[in-house]
Amino acid sequence: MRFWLVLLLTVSLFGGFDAKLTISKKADQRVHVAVIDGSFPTERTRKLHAIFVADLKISSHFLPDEMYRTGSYDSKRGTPALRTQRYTITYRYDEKDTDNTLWVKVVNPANAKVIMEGRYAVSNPAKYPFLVHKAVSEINAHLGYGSIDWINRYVVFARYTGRKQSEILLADYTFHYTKVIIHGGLNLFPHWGDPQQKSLYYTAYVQGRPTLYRLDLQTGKRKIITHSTGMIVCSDVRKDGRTLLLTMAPDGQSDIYAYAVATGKTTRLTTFRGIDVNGVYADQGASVVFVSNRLGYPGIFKRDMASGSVSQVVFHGKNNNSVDAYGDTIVYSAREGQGVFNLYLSHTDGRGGRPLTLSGINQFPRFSPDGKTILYIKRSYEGNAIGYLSLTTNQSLLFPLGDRKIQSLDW
Amino acid sequence: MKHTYFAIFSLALTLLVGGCTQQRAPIPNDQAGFDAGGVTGGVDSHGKYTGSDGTSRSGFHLLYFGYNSYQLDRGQIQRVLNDLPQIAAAAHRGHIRIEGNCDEFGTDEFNYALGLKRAKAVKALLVNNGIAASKVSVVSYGESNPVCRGGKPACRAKNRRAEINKVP
Repeated sequence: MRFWLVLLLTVSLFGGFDAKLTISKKADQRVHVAVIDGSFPTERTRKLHAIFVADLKISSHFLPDEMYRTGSYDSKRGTPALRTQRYTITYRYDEKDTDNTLWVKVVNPANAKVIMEGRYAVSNPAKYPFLVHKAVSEINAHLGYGSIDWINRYVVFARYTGRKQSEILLADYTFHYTKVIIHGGLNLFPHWGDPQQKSLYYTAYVQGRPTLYRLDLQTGKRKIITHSTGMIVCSDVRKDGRTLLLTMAPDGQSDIYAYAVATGKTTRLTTFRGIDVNGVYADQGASVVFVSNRLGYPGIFKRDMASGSVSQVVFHGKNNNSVDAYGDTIVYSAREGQGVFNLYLSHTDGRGGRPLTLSGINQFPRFSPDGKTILYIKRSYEGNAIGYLSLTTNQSLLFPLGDRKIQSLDW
Repeated sequence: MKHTYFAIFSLALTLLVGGCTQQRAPIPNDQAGFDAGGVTGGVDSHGKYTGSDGTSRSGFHLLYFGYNSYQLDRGQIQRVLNDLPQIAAAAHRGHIRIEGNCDEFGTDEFNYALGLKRAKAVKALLVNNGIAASKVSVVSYGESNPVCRGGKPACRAKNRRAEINKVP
């Protein structure tokens, strides 16, 4: 009897929380660090502190003390009270019209030795989050950890503003910085056109006809790529930027096509009479994974690019309607009851099925450029948020998104 | 000792139930400004709206579908046939556009394809009843064009629909 009660208690305490247990084990391997605001404290400098903490957390290499502290940026003395921390990061922020500067200093609190010091500036004050991202990615590199340069990238996303109305925005990964770049009418499915984020593809409706555009972010010029009756979506861009994966429906039938940017030639990749959408390159371009209802419900399938054969790759769930791939790893969203969508990690050969989320509506999963972090949108009782999940530490972060519904995103 | 066992058991049960509850969190209504009223019908076992209300901008009946479905049932086919003389006349004078729509669930790309299949099903019905295919176009608005916004199942079901409209 005692055995069963202890077993029941153990299961109830730890069952379903395995991810957090993994965090606590791996947390000990991460470097303890405290962040100190050396500026004249304002609401903005407090936000900078929060962004520092978020960046350090999502790096998977640091375990930041979340307490907001203030201190002198120029102090030459050590900080004995913070001796339990391996490093302190002290920052000072000055905001002027076109000269917004962040000074950052990494110090060993035990002996006051300066490990690294940097100055970061931006002309547009709204872009202050990027100063912290740049600083943390450089600190991370200086200390010899694996690159986290993805935190310097923009996220592009579309959000609904009304009926048949949506706008496309740029954001930093924490969504502290957002800027509308396309508005008016229905603007959907933005997707980066190149790894340097100099261009993007998106869909707009021109007199009711779905049209695919390419926008050059440096010149502001946009160009019509192609259009299709019914719907058109650019769901992936090959790494070299030369081929797009499009969902088109020239005869009212949605299928996946490869589109050669240089020639405009389209090649139909799927011919199913139902729904095939959301094609993304996998296995280093040797295959395309996509969502199809060929079993009568949305599921995840793969098309081998050499043979053209199609096979099922996810055998879990009856409603898997979104997928992304990095190499042979895929992440997908599975509907599990009324109002519950969870994310799972799997492989293109059918292996795996690791749950990544446990509650709420978790959708639009996207791998980071290094494949180590997943971005997703979470809708739950607490509200909408953009989520990040480190696959190496299981550390997750959520940033509030406000009330408007995200239509799609890419980073 | 029995009291201790009972206390441990109660704690374990509480934690188990608490954990389950956390995973069933309802979702918020995250888009204000849409009409949450005007829902007179219910939802059948397939998720289809059972009300007979609702017309398109051109005055034709709205056509409702079940969850993840793009098949018109007998009742919806009859609604199209009731409007057929007016639709045929409009097609003769100009053009007909069928707009497919979805509820807010699911990923948007799948929803846009689902909306398109709904529009295509209506087009097939019109063509089978004598309207020239060249006079009918289809487009999907996915979940971007709800007629009802709210957490109630009947309200969501009302958005799983196709609309027939005249194009001058």
